[in-house]
Amino acid sequence: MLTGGPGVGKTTLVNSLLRILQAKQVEVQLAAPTGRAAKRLQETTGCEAKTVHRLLEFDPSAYRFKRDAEYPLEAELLVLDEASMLDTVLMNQLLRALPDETALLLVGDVDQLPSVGPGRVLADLIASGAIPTVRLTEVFRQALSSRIIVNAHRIHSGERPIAPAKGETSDFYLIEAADAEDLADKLVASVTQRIPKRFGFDPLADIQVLTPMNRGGLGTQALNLALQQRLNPDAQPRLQRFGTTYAPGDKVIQRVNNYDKEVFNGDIGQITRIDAEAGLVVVEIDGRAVEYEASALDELSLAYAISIHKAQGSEYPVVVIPLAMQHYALLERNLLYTGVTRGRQLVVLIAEAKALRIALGRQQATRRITRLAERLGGLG
Amino acid sequence: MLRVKVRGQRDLVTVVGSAAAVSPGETIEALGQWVQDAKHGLQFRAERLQVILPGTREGIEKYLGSGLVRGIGPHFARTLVNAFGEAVFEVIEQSPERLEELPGIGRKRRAQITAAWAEQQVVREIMVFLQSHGVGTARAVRIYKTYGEAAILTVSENPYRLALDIWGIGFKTADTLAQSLGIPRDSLLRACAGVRHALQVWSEQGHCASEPEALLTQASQLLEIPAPIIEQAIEDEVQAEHLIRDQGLLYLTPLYRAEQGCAVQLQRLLQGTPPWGQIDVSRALPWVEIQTGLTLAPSQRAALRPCSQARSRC
Repeated sequence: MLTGGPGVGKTTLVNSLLRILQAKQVEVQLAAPTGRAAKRLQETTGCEAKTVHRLLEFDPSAYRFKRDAEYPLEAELLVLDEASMLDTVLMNQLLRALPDETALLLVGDVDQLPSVGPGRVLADLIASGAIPTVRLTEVFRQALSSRIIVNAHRIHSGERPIAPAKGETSDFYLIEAADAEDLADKLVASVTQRIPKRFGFDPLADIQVLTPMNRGGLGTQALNLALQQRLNPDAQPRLQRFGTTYAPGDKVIQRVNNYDKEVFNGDIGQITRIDAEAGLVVVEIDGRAVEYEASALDELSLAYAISIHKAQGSEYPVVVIPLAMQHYALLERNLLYTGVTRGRQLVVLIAEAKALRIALGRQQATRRITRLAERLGGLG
Repeated sequence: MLRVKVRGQRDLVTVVGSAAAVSPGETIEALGQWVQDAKHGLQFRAERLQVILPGTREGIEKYLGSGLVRGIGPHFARTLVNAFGEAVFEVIEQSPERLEELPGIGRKRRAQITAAWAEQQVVREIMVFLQSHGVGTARAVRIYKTYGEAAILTVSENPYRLALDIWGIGFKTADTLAQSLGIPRDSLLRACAGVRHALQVWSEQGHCASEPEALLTQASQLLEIPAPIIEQAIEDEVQAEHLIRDQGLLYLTPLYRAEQGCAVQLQRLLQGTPPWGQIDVSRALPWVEIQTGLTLAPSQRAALRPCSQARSRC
């Protein structure tokens, strides 16, 4: 296992290892838990990378994986990135499909939020002491010039992120908000005007709002409505289903895996066409046109704002994060850490001072009940 | 509450009652009595409310174009009614080949329309059943797609199956349906499904298992069933191997298998031998630095050693 935070050189290390092993003709497969993470792995390594579901050849008609102990994967080394996102169920499916002689390298940041599904596999494997683990901690000099990385590490150790001096250009901004209303105003202004004007980013394609919750005035639902009104107010025709109005141009996210359409939980796209007569919505996802019948629109939500949990394993050019007292129940250090590390070029944190303080101070409020570490230790 | 145009009445009439899906433009038949409501004036309180196929050209057009039948929108509905008048339903059902008389309708479109119409009819029947028990349209369609024409039978036998089989239907919906089908709230059937549900809710917060006392308390509160019945349900579910008791915890069986499986599989993989034999790191390191044009830091060099040499375990 290889673990460590941003800027510690996991990618370089994986690439070096791949070079050496490929020179020895070792047959390598690469995978990651989500489509976006797999795509990024493919970009950084230059080798084909699949989602775990594709690697294991999920068969939607039987609702099971074709790859298993009887029909195992063919590889000498499997590298699995963003391993912190793997839940116990998927991990088990993956391990079953590995032959005895296949090596497995799990790469991930154990300080990210644990998987959405049950368990905290990566943390348990480390805690068991049974799996050889390399933990990189040294942040490289070139990474230190990025305030995103520096602040991610500060957040990780419970320290307040450093904001740039007034007028200084930075890749990390901390904007204080007096209350929820002030925060909402500042957020909408940042996304629709200030960031596009100052940095030239596109509000739809480049900027992603990541919020701790779905409900409440600063949750995904309310922020999506506010941002839709500002960014796509007049497009026609409009189609209303399941409490959401959709129009051409809207940014949307797929909420569940749909194997028929080959679109997956967390895929983000844009509505290109609506045929109100036929009840059809066409969404372009990764350059591909995907059709939704009106009755299937509950698989989608607007995606101007998504939850930090949904953003796990994905990166975006610009990330804007609201942090307010109304998010109290969820405020936690690794939530903020996960949100901040999603931003590649610019992170804007808009926070009520008290909410930020609570998030930095609170750690592992939710302990997960598992016995995986004990089972591994006991067997070893 | 419906606002209905009634023949012989000048103003719209308010009809109160419970019915399956009603869309604008549909014709209804209501049995009941007129009442004078203190707040809302004259209303018709319907004991029975039924949607009947519309008789007027206008009604037919609205019904067809309401989006209930896939592939027919308001525009095409008008074309259909203009061509076939009040006989349009008969045409679709009995002589669908006549649809091809219309401009732009070929064999393929005709097949689409007749299929959608047939589906609409079965779905409608199932919806009437499900909606009379409080299940909404979108879910009813999903239930139909899963169970097909056996939906009514399947659901009335054990509505709690829905929570296991249908995405988007949780224990709560199934439970509502069960109540209206007359399954007692403190029945063992409900308690068993409910215990699984409580554990499911728990696992959605990231847990693989629960301590038995915690589950007992949670399930008892959640289901409003006395603890002794919950205890019995837990025993039954353990007997049925829907739940597993291990290491002092209660697991949903699939989660137990997954956790245990992870441990066993990792142990198996740890015992393998590396497929690439020994690698001379002292030679490979300088080579890869030239290849990539990057100099590895001491921490990375140190990391490469165990990664390339560990006995098949990286």
